[in-house]
Amino acid sequence: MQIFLAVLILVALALLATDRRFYRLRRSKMASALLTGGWIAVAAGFLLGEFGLGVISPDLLRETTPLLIVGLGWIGMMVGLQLKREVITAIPAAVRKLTLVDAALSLVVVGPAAALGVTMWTTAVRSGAEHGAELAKANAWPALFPAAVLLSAGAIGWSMETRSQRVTGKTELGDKLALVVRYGGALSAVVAIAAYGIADKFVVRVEQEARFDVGFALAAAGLTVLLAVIAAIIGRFALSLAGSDRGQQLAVFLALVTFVAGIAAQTDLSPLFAAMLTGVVLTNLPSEHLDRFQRFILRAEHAVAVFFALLAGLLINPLLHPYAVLLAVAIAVFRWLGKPAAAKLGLRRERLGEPPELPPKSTLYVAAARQSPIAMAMAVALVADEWSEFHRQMLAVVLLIGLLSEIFPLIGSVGRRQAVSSGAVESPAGTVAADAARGRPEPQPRAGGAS
Amino acid sequence: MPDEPRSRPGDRPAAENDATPVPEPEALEHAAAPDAVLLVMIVPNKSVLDDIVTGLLDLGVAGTIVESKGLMALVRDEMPVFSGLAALMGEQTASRVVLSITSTKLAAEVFRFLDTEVSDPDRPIAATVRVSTALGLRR
Repeated sequence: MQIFLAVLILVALALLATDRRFYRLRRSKMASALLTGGWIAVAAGFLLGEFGLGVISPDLLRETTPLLIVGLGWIGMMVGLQLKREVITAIPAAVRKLTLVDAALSLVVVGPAAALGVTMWTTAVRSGAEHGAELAKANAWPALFPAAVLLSAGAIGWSMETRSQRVTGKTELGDKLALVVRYGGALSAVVAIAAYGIADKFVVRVEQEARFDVGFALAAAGLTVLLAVIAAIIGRFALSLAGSDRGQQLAVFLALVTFVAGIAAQTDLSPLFAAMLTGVVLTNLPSEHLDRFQRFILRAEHAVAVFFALLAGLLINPLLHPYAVLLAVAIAVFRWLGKPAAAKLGLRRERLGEPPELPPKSTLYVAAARQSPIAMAMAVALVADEWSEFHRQMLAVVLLIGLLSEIFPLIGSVGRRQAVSSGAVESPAGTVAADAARGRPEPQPRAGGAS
Repeated sequence: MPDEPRSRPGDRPAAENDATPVPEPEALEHAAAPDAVLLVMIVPNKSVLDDIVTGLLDLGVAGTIVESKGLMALVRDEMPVFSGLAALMGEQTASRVVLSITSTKLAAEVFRFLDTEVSDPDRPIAATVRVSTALGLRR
């Protein structure tokens, strides 16, 4: 009974948070950053969880692991369904280049730092033994590998939400940059899921002992592709039977996600990666009702995101060793400094060309510092894969990186807004602030017309 | 102080109650036919659009079709969580606005068609407004 109540609370909160009236809040730039980043939902989840009011216990959540896996499948499928052939070809070359530069930089810098940080953290815990025996058990390097992979893959990309950063973005170049940030974030999410889904399988567990196995990783990748192709063909057939009926389309989608994610989880593959590949194959198969199906599924994006953020808040173990906090701060500092630099470097030609195709300066470059919500989903996947206090702490580390990475762009955005309102920074042409700065009278509402 | 009377459906707009005289439709330079209405339909998806276009052609109603986006889709556009490429997917919302200046009689036939031939979840939002002047209509 309790388990149903827990699920009911989560679903009700997710639906409430994405109600039409709550969308009104998202028109505020600050609220859009907090809501789309999932931070309010994470806080609500944390309050409901073990370290808050204790309404939903972790043991109860553990029983909902199958639901968690289906949720991961839903996210993976949503990401994959976007990758239609024509969408991929429509992505500007600058976005592809930017994604490549960012992924390479993230893996090269964060990979070794994460490996070192996680090793130091677990070694310190083992010697101090103040954070439970499970961490000590995880201290063997192969067992730590998935955690290091999670931090590296989580470092790829950035948040796709651009509304909170667009203080002066109402210009043509600003609009173009907002699209580049959005597309780049989305493409990076695909790279991150693939990197995590493949690299994580380099470690296998045999009788509770973790060891490296390259052959298994390759076999897992091949099996995932095979599973995705089979599931997509079944999905296409089921969709043709469902036709345009929304109820039946939802039933097909849920069945497909459960099938793919469930089989992936049972065969030690990544549910997120398998579902994403299924989405990619499905979207590229000719089907009459696919467009409608995609729109229908994508509409639930925010509700699923809130549900996952609530779960993440419930699942975290915030009792972090100082080294774990230090690791999170180090990665956040990398994001603050490295990501905007990578964005500017990757778009150098477009920024500095004559005429420039993108604005040479913009707060949107700083927005690249913000962690992608996919990192949160991948951290939840780690907990679903193997339920341990160490993995719950890893989830806390990922959330801490995400929270810290939001601060710098938020300060920049607020500062910029104040500068615009005080007239220190020029506003884009056509705005009331720009007209006032140039001494033009504020337009008066016409008699009898709307102001 | 007594409350101002609330306007009711069918009331003439406040501007028409002003002291400024409003020219009668007949007196206008480009006066439309007395029974001319602007028919506006918001068609939620592409699959039903085909049926509606066929229906309009059968009834002899001309029109213009505009690609459109719902309010929630617009709000979601700047705030994707997982699907930043959705904006690149053609016809992401796939809603269309059909505009047609027609007669009251034909508009009534269109409404009857929508009511009887289009199933409830696919039925477009439809409305008419009276037209006083018009220019460039093809007859």
